[in-house]
Amino acid sequence: MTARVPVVISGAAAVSPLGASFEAAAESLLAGISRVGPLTNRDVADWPVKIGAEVQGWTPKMKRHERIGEMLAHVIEGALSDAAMTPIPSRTALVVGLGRQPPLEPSAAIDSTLQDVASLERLPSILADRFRCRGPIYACANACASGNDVIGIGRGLLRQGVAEVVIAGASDSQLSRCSVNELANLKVLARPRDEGDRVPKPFDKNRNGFAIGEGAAAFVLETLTRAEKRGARVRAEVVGYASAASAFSLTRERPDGGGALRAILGSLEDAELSPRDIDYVNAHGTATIANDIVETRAIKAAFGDHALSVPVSSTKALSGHALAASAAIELAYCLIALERNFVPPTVNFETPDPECDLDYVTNQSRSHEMTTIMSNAFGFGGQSAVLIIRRVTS
Amino acid sequence: MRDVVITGLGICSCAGIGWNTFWESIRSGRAAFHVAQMELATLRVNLVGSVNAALDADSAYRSSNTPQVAFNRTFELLSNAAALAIEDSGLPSACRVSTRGGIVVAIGGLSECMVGSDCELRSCKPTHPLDRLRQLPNIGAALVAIQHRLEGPSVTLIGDATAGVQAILQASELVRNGVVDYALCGAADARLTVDHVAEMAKRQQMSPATSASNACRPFDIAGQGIIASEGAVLMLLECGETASRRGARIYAGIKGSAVGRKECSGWSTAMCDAAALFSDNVDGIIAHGDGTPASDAEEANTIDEVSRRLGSHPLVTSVQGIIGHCMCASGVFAVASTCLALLTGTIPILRSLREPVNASIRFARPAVSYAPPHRLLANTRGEHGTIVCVALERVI
Repeated sequence: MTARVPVVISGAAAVSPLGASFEAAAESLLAGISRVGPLTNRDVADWPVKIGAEVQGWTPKMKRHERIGEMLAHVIEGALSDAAMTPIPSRTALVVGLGRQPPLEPSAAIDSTLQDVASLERLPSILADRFRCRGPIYACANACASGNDVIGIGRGLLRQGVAEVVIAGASDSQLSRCSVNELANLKVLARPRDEGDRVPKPFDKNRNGFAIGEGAAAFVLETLTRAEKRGARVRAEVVGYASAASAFSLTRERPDGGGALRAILGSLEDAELSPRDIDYVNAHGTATIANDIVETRAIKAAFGDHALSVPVSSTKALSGHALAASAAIELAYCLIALERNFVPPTVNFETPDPECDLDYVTNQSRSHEMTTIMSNAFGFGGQSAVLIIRRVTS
Repeated sequence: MRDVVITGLGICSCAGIGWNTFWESIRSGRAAFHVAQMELATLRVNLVGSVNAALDADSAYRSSNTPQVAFNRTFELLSNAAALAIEDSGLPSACRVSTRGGIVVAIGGLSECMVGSDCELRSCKPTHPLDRLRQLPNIGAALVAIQHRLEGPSVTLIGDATAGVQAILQASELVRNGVVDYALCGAADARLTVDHVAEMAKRQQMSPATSASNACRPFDIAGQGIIASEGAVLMLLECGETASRRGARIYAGIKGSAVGRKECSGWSTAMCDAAALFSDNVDGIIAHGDGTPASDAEEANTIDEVSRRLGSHPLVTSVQGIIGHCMCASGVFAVASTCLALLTGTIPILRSLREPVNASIRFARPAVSYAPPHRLLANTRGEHGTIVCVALERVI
């Protein structure tokens, strides 16, 4: 094995519907305030679904990239600032998670300059130039699992010794008519049953899909030794990571949990931990009918009798599903939960589903002493990636 | 730490389907370019490296790829190259434990996603639930994983020419660290569309040549630019010991790699770092060499500097004069060619080289004699000045 050098997160930043700062996000997570609602930043009159979770109250400093790039640049800058890392070392790698190339709005499409920088393929190189990263550049497109995979890949680059520091992050914004149409066609978007019905409803018997969100999160990774040497504040250690493919269906997981189960077990093995060491599971919890049952089964199969006692929650009812960025944003939420010792709630929960019978920390956050958190991420194509982070005590 | 070797090669290129046909074309030195079927005249582009002609000669190809054809051409090429690589490796199904097999691939931006040609602009609505999936790069890897029951890690990368090489290196680490026993890796890119070639033409010098024999001349002072091309290369990586035990044909061993940025002599440092992975001199370099004067001159000067620092004169060539620039798959084609050079003991000649951009370099010309290579470097240059240099050695 590559030397199991401890790798830590020494800087983090996120912009999500819960806010553009950790403080704002922490407030919403603690109070269980959902930012899912009618979409107001766009004309959605002819969209099949008109609710979602938008990033509000944040204005990009520079109009250099389109929204995905703007948000990513913003959080990278924030993570570097949080890590007090200026200037960055020359062997800094950039590993970013991106999703589907979003279509430009018709009005923007005529601007050839904007088109030139809007390509997601070129975005990592543009950002590497901007932040002077001279190490390897990776752009990972593993659908909704991308945010966890970039951390795993980044940790690998540090352990291989090909990078001294890694900036890892993900960004996505698919709030466009085209994407909403596509997702609605797949029947994965939540629709309120009647006026006043609050959606999405992860793990609820009446769940019917997710609310599309947007956002970005970035992290500075370095070895524990390096972080300690420079006196950095260490937010958490990345102790476990595993990726697995279900190799079963493009849109469904195996009924027994398949790839999700193997990724959960693989992350525990990688971390050399047992299920009892996990204090909280941040579920993928999309609120689609299939995902929540399969994820519940996978957790039960992996955790055994500890499954019923470990708190599990989905934050997607609070902030929507930011697709390729979701896992990175949820890792930021996990850092907040770890630092402040509380479990964010699964809101909008009303009716228990007999097939989803774990402790989902419903509707209200819970104070909970924590050391180790598991964060699940699954995606179309049968992608599964699971991370485990742990508090570092000096 | 385990040694990592390449035991399977699957190639879909404008120079042929399957590595034998591909290598035959490369060794013959005949450019595999054809007149573009789409209207590119306004861009002053006449030739492209399309896989179509090669496909027409391979009747088994399309019938075996119906589901992938329904998705998009990139996935179709990826899937076919994967099947060829698995078959070529001779890895018995009994040896394949699905959870111990992984996949890491780079996917060129899907043509359907191209900015400016998207359904959003045409205001149409998707008509099929699979429309969403056609747009997601990781679906290609998922299709291959389902076909070949690869249940281990699955990673899809996007990006410039270096992305495919990064995929090989990432897969190599999975095998090296024992996360998987075998991994399929490589890249596919099939963006020979008017929109994409127009985008390329904005940033890179495209060859205006009308004759294949005169097009794309890497490292020649008369080089006029690149020829846009398409294709896919998938490789099967295994642990060296396991491959030897089962008597597999081993194309090459992956010693490692180095990455450098253009600034601060990053390229020469990367090449020297990669060369230092060998215990002996580097015999040759399959360079990026894309046929653009500025890029070729920079790479040639770097190779010259590295040769001086290493005190050796490796033979230098490039295959882009034969197959063009396959975008995110171009680096993988360089690595595949390096493997075949090591396997066959032949470094392909540099096609159409008359007056080199750097006279100090020992380019692979017909009259140059050399011993069968044992240690080769494969260079890939990305759009924004990143170079990835992979060190491969012959395994006996």
